[in-house]
Amino acid sequence: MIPLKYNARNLMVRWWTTALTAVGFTLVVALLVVMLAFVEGLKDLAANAGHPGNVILLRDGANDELFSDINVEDVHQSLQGLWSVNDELIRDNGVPLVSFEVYSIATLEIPPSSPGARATYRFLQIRGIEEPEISGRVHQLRLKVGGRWFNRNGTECVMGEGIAKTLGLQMGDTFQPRPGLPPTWTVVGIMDTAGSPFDSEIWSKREEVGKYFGKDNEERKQSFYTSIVVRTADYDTAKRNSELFRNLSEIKINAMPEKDYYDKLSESIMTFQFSAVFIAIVMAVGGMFGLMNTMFAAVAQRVKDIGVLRILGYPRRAILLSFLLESLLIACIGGLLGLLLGSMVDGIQQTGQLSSGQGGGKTVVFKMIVNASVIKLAVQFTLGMGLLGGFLPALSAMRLKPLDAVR
Amino acid sequence: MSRPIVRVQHVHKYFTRGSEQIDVLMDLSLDVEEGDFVSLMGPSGSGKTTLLNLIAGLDTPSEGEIWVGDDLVSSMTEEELARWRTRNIGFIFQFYHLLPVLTAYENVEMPLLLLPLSASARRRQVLTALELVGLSDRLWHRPGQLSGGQQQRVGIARAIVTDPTLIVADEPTGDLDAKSADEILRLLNELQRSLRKTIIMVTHDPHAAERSRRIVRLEKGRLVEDDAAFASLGGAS
Amino acid sequence: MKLLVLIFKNLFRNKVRSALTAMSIFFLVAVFTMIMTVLRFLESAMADKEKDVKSIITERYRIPSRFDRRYMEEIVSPGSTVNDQLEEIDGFDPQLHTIWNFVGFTLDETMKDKDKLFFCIATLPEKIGVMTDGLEGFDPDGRLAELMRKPPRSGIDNIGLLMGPERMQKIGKRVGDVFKAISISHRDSFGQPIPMEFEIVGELPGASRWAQGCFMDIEYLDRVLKDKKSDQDGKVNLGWFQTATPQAAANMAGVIENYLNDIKCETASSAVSRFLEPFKDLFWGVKYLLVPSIFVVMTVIVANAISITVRERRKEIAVLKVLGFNARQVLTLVLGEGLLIGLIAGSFGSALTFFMVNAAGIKIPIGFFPVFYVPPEALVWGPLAGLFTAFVGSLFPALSARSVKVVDVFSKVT
Repeated sequence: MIPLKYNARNLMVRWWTTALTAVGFTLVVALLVVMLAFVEGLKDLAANAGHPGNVILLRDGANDELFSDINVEDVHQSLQGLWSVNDELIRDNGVPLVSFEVYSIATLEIPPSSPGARATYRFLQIRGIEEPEISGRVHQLRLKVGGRWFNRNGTECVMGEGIAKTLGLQMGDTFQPRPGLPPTWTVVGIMDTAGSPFDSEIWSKREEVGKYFGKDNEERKQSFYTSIVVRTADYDTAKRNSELFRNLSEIKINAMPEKDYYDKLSESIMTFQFSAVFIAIVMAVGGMFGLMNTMFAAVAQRVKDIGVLRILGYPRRAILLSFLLESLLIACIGGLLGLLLGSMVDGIQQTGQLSSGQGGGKTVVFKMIVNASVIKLAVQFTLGMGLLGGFLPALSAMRLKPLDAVR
Repeated sequence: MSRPIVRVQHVHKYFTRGSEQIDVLMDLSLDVEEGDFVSLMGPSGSGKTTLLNLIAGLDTPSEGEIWVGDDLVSSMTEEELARWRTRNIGFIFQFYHLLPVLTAYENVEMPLLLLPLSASARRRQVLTALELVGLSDRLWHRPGQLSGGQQQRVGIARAIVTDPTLIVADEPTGDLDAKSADEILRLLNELQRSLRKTIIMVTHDPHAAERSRRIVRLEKGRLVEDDAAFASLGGAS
Repeated sequence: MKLLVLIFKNLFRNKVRSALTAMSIFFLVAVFTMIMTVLRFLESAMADKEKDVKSIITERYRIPSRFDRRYMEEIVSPGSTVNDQLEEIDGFDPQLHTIWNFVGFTLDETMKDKDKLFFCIATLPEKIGVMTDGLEGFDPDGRLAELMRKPPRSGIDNIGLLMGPERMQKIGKRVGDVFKAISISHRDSFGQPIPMEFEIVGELPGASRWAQGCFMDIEYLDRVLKDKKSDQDGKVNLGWFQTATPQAAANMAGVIENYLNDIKCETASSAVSRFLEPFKDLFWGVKYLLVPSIFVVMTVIVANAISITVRERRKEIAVLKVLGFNARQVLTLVLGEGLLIGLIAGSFGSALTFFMVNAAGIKIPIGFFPVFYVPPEALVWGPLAGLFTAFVGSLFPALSARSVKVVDVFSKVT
């Protein structure tokens, strides 16, 4: 085999070309890593969202909390009985861990910054809860030190860390989701929500949320839950019970393990992932042609070297291998730098959306993640581009006739 | 007398250009004794370089046989030839053809990398070869840092480092000034005399040819003069 | 002129290198064009318009929005307090309004088959070609409304449906088909899905974001909801207005929000911005990391190719100088070669993207924009991007070619 130092030295002699080619690779790989880290972060959040034993109940036909409504009365008539007989549900002091919720997105009016200007709006994710403590346990959420769950009189709320930061609120502050109108809530607890899909949510008493932001119909005295979350032991039990809930004759509901629900919500991530990989591939193809240029020039410049090596007895495949390795070397220098550069985004906080792709969706805050699968793909990209970009030039080097080459 | 080390028997070499056949060598036979130093001379186009390439296994004859030692070179495949060349042939080129990015030492080491040798054996052989050509103090210089004569000496060291059966040189002094050329020729004489190396050299320089033991002249693809007698005179000097 | 010929000839001397460089630029320009297509579209959707400003009326605090239709009637009917106030606004036209109700249907009674779903906008038929973004001029002679109200085949009033070709293909229907569908979003008083009947009377444009869309006559929905005593009867999801100026839109919003506390009125662009808020970080990354990086990669590839060429042709450049070419002409020669490649490859990159991608559109569902089409102005982005990067990339090699010293080249230094 032709020693690698031969290639390395040649790369150093042509350092300007090597650097230019490698920089292309650095950028392509760095971008790939950044894009994938974004996707991985979202995926990770979705994958860790929900308890494996949780079953989520929505209205029949609804796949998103936002489009679901289950009549409260129906629930208490038809479902309540179920809790007492189903011994697969996890209980706490005899009370089943069931969370009754109404989820809604409200529009928060932000008063005009100057007189005469128009008000602007932002979305608020609000969840009405019957028993905050039990819901907290169902969703595995704890309060930060010093906080407590809200009481039943409708004047208090708790919220996720993320939204508290965004709104600039601290424990003890009061705030009105509809400026100048009820309700007025005092923040009595901040939930430890980092990395969970509840980071941007405000939780308060179900009746208040239903009345002001939900689908409750006062004229008809109807109240609605959007979702009910039931804790069972594990995923299999959750799966079995979902089936059970779906087939109830008294009330038509859609039920699925909470994990499956978040899987569906993360379908939009696949679009991002596909786009990221697509963009990276097209860019890589561009970079690869650049590498081919460099390698063809390298071959042209070293025709005599190749001739001599062949005359000395080096076989064709040694020449092919040598130039392929040289191409890989450039790719690896660039790729490694790109990987290092791209990896710097690891842990950076981002806002994104989980959505099933039919409108709705849930704003989440997550951290970008550079993990083994990202690194693996980046390495595969680097090697792939290096090999593809180097192959044709190496082939042309291999095909040179030794006598013609030294002439 | 022992069997000749090189036997060229009724070799015919032609190229075809379109429908036309161009004969380069025609029914040429030549024997070279082991330890001899032969100059191939002739005007350009006479086929001297082609003959050298055929003997060195860089090309194959259209007809006829070429034997080097016990090997029938003319019937080897490209792959076999490559392996054979490494062990049996040392090349010296007119333009030295050193790899510019490698040092003198590394250039000389290149052919050895194809042989199953230990690192220490390799090192020993490289140092010996470079000492023989008188470049022990230039081991880590690159070709660009050496004079033409020095570069050619590195070329010679590279040719002898594998201890080949045969050394072939194509115009080894063609790119050198008279003084450097003289040094190179003296070195070749030295190799032939003290190491009993067989050398075949293509040259069009009569002064260079005079240093060999035997001069073979070619014209239009045929052997026209074989001055072995000259050898006892010129070659002995 | 002679120089131009020379540049052309040089371009074809190392065909492989020119082709490879061109291919690089081609691919990178193609991806740049696609990214810009999405970015520009979303940015323009979020940007405030100068004229013909669309405003959206929604329920004030809730998502999804749903409010009493009588609010819309109050706004547009002469005689109401709100309308009196609005009529005084210069640029307000009550005729330029419409209402939207989103209705989900399925053709599969078991509701299991996702491919049998379609979403439909129930609206005022005569306003479809007037008030819908992307359907301007779709209904030039205003005959659509008549078709939807009096479908030719079934003869049942108001059941006409307009559907995009992709959606029709998905659910296996054609223009002229009469079929039953079940509403999954709107229920009767017992909470049961409502069966309805439709006839497809027209096809929405294929190469648009309505390729999967669907419109129905709101009169039909109203009739059914009333009949079934649905609690959704009399409610709408959205109201639209178009005003001549941004000022008129602001004034209109002020009046509406002042008189009607349950609803809010804002420009479509501001509503879109809010919906796209979660994508803010993503857009930032695309705009300030991805796009510049693509440019740098292109520049670097051109720089590399041109510097290899210059290095190989040093001798030749020296000969040109001996022949009397001045430094500026040598510079032009090298720069010109780079620019020519950039221009050609960039033009092809955007043109091919334009023609090939637009056959299907770029399907990246962001918010409620399911598909993006490369706009004709992209045909200019490509050549410009190619020229720009080629210029930056070949400038340095060209300068070094300019400064080639004849003496250095001909005195052989090893």
